[in-house]
Amino acid sequence: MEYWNGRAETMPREELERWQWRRLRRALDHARENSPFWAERIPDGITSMAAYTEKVPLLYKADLLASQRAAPPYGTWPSLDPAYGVRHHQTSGTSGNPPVRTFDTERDWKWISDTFCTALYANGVRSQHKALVAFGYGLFAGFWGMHYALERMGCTVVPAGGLDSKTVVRLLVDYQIEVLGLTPSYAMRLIETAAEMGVDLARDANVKVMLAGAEPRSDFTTRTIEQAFGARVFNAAGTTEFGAVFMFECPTRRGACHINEPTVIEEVLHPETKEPVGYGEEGVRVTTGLYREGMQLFRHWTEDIVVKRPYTDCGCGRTWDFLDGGILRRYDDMRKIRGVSVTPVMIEDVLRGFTEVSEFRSSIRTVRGLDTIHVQAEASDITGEAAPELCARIAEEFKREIGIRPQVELVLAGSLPRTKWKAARLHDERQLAHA
Amino acid sequence: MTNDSSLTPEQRDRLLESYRTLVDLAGTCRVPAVFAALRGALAELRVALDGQGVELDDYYRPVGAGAGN
Repeated sequence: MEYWNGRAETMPREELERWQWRRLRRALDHARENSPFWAERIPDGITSMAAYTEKVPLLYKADLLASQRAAPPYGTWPSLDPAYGVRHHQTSGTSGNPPVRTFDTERDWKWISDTFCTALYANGVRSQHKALVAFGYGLFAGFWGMHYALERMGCTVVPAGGLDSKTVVRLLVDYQIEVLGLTPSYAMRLIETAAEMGVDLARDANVKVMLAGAEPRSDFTTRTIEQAFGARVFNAAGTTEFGAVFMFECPTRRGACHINEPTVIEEVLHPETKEPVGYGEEGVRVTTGLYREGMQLFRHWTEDIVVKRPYTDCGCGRTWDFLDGGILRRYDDMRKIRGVSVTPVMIEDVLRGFTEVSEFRSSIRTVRGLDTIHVQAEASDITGEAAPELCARIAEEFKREIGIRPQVELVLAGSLPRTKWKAARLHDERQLAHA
Repeated sequence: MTNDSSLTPEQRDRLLESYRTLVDLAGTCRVPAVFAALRGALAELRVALDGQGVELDDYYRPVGAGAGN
């Protein structure tokens, strides 16, 4: 097994836990001394990890937004003068909330890149590989860190930010790109575009490693992407609030997303009781950052539903625990429809099973007092009697898999929006109707 | 195959010594081009030292704080 940083990745567990505690203590001191926001929230006298989780309140996105509204742009949150920042980012706003704004110092940014390096190296990326990052290169941090990490590792990077999908497909083939970073949604878009161009990505391109992040995805989507590209898709995730990549998928065990524990503490709490859950149990991920100096994070309630397992369940030699399957779904993405819990990934799982469907959008609406799912699906080459027959099959599969029969409407091919970043395919329009 | 996972004690000491030397230099350097190089190099070295489990006294002091650059 090869590691980007074997010292950190294989540190004996007891030493790792001592390291985390020392780092946490210093991080807390820095925050209390320099950030009015944290000085208000972090009490004195935290002398153990147990005291930390008992005394420091959970941090919600609303807390950060309130601070930033009161004192824009960064609020009273920073622990350093923002003048030390070398870059600004903000959350994507796909949840409909105003964005959380952050800055990174030069050291913070090097660390963020290094956490990407850890993930990429584990996934088989090496110096001199040719890489393409198909990402919007805007305010959303997304794959910016991956770009810098690839340069840091000595790869050749093609920044494919403002290019159309056909050009990206041509670049993949012409330059025999080996490493590809993108969202699962955009990977699906490239598969569709390549097919229109008569390009067989698995045969004509040379992609070996794909880092597909920034969105939860269904297993079916992952398998479809892997088959079409003939490459392994690895999962990884970071957040703008934390700054860096906190987990990456291990090549040794599919779905095992190791937590970069020297730089982050990940608690998993029951979504209702807020009490810790054990290994193997679902809960919400709560993050504490141990490294970032400009904008620190303590006990951030992320809304991400995860299942943590001990490092011993993976045979790669890393001593970092892992999140099994990565982020399973978002707690705040779950919608109740006539008593049934529905998430975007559940809907995606059903629709990706229909090879005729190239893109979709779903919404929850109230029709004559009854909540229902409305699905718009693009299905090219489906005409005449085949159209209502396909709608009926989709509705039946929904009923069987999710328990709700939706209204299904076929729309013109290419009429639904495509995105290079976080796709939002489930829209709850019930509040709009009631407003 | 496992690749090298840790520095030798001698390598670690030399890395730390390099870091200290550059911190001193950054504190007095007034040449913008050189200072920019020092700031970048120090940020990289901090990440490297951190990855090797080396703790620094000036952990949260930004490079060039108070240097007027």
